[in-house]
Amino acid sequence: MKLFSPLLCFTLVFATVFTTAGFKAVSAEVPYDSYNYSYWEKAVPSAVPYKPQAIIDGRAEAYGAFQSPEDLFVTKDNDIYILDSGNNRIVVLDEAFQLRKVIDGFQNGGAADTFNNPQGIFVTGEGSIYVADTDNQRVVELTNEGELIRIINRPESDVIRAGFEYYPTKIAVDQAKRIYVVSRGVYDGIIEFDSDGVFTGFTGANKVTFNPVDYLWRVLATREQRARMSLFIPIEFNNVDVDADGFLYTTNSELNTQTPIQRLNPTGTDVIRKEGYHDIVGDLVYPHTGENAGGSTFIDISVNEYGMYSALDAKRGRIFTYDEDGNLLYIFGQLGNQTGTFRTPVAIDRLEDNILVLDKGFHRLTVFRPTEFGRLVNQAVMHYNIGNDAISAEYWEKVLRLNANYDIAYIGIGKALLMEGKNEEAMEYFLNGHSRKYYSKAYKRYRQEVMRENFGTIMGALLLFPALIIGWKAAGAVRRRRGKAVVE
Amino acid sequence: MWSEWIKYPLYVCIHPFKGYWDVKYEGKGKMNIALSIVLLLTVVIILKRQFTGFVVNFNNPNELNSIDELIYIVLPFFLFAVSNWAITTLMEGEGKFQEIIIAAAYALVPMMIIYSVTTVISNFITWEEAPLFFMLDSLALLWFLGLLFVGIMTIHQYSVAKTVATFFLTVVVMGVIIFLGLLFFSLIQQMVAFAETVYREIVYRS
Repeated sequence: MKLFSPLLCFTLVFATVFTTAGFKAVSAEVPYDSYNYSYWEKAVPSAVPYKPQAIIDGRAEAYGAFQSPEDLFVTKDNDIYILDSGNNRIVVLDEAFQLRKVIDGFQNGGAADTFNNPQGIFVTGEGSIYVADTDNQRVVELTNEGELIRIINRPESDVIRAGFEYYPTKIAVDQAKRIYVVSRGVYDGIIEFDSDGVFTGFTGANKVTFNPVDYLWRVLATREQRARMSLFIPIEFNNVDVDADGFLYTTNSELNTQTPIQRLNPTGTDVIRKEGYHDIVGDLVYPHTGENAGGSTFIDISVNEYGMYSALDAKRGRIFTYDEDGNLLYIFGQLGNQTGTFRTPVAIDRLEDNILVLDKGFHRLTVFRPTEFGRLVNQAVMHYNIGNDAISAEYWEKVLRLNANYDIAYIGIGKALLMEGKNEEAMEYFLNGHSRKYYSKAYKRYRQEVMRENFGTIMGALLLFPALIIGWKAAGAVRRRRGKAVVE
Repeated sequence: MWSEWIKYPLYVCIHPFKGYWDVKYEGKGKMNIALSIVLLLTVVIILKRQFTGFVVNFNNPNELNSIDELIYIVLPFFLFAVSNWAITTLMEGEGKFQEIIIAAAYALVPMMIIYSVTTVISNFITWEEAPLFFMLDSLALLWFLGLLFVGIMTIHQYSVAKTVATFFLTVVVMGVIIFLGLLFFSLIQQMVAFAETVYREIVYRS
């Protein structure tokens, strides 16, 4: 017992210290692990980029609890528009999450009209509110005060196939007031209306994909069997966002696609930049069998003015953020029951540096605030985008202090060094960042530099070497002749 | 020494028909030289994997393993020799096992030389010059295949068509040997596991 008691005491003390420390830590801890993918496609731990800061569910507020909210929009003035679909209303909050107004209906030709399960919202720079009023099969444009401007009904045109169902779910409006609508069950592409609300066509239809085995079966099948098989049809888009230059960022939920995120130019071609190590597909390592099999299923995307875009993976509740070149910057978020995790995440947007995620299952909005690491990465990317390479490199240096395995930071610093003409140092950084392309560039300059400095030595050696050989041979010949002479 | 170890293998690379003829009828090739070439090639390839310049080196340094290289080079070499010998004895080939090994090993010489050269120059090239590197590497492979073909043809005194056929059969036999080997290991494993289980049962019950 004597031997026992000090040990017991120690254990008790230790346990107390440990648990209290644990309790304190919980408030600062995040409910998810953060990781990133290395150059070798391995998931490696990373610093946490974003932490949950606040939950907005309206339960304790005058406007009441949300009911299955479906979409979210943050304007340039930092007003937050929440499309509270279950209550058929729009809740507008200011940047401090205080109520600004609620729009739950509008006057339509003298009669009161309401939404019916609306699923998409977009607010233009001038404050016009566009709502994809899904079950009413229409798009509604309201003034910022909630007065009706116009209603855009289902598109009418010869190019629309028979059996076309129109249930607009997501909407985006570009600078020229062209309206892009994503509709449930429409695989022809994104429906495009001009500024007058006249249907102009489909844009960016996904390509049909099928696997060879399916194709073989189809070829072998009889006509009757073929008629009963599912058709090869392109996958529909499920969300759309528009950036400052009028490019559309879209997501689709096709299984195992290499292009779940597309950046469509005005002609509907995917022009997303893929300069990163890996395809822009979210998770690279995932189970192939079981309940949660398959890669990430993106459901919403948000692009900021520096070309960074964050995509929301509904399958695992993760948010993947890429820079304009397609480098995976950071990953965070998780499905779960704790504060800061999701049940059915449906929409994502940015409020300055914060990321807002709308959860339909939990009927709430979660606000994520960047940690120091996240903030530094954002700053570095921003400064690189606006051309301040040197400042960007300073931020990358700080990022490396928090996460020494951050390959993109090495490349960022390397680029800045290359601009300054420090080729040899740049090579070192590109080597650490696994960037063959830039390493090669830096090396080319470095080699030129060395050659120029040592031109005399190199040329001298080149001339001297043959001279030495010739001399040696000549000397040998002389020696041989003399040897012969001696023998004779 | 100089002539036998350095000059003659190089001579075979450039004059394969005459070279291999002399290997067969003049007793020029040596077994220990042949084995040294294979060993040296293994070393060269291990060095190549590790020290090729970053621009054209796509190997993950965390996954490089010199023992693996031994398995990927020495094992296929002897597998080929055994399979080829097995097939050619049935197909009236005149070559002995020793000659097959010498012919195959001497064919590896250009690969050994070119690989060591490209490993060095790869450290001084940019991405734009990389095609040169890849071209030289492919050249090494093609040269090796050409020499092997001529070597086997000469050693066994075959016609071209028959050589092609034996090459094809050699590959099939290599596959069969690997299959049997795996089968053998798998069966042994099962037997060991069975014996172990029986032993455990007895130990636990008594």
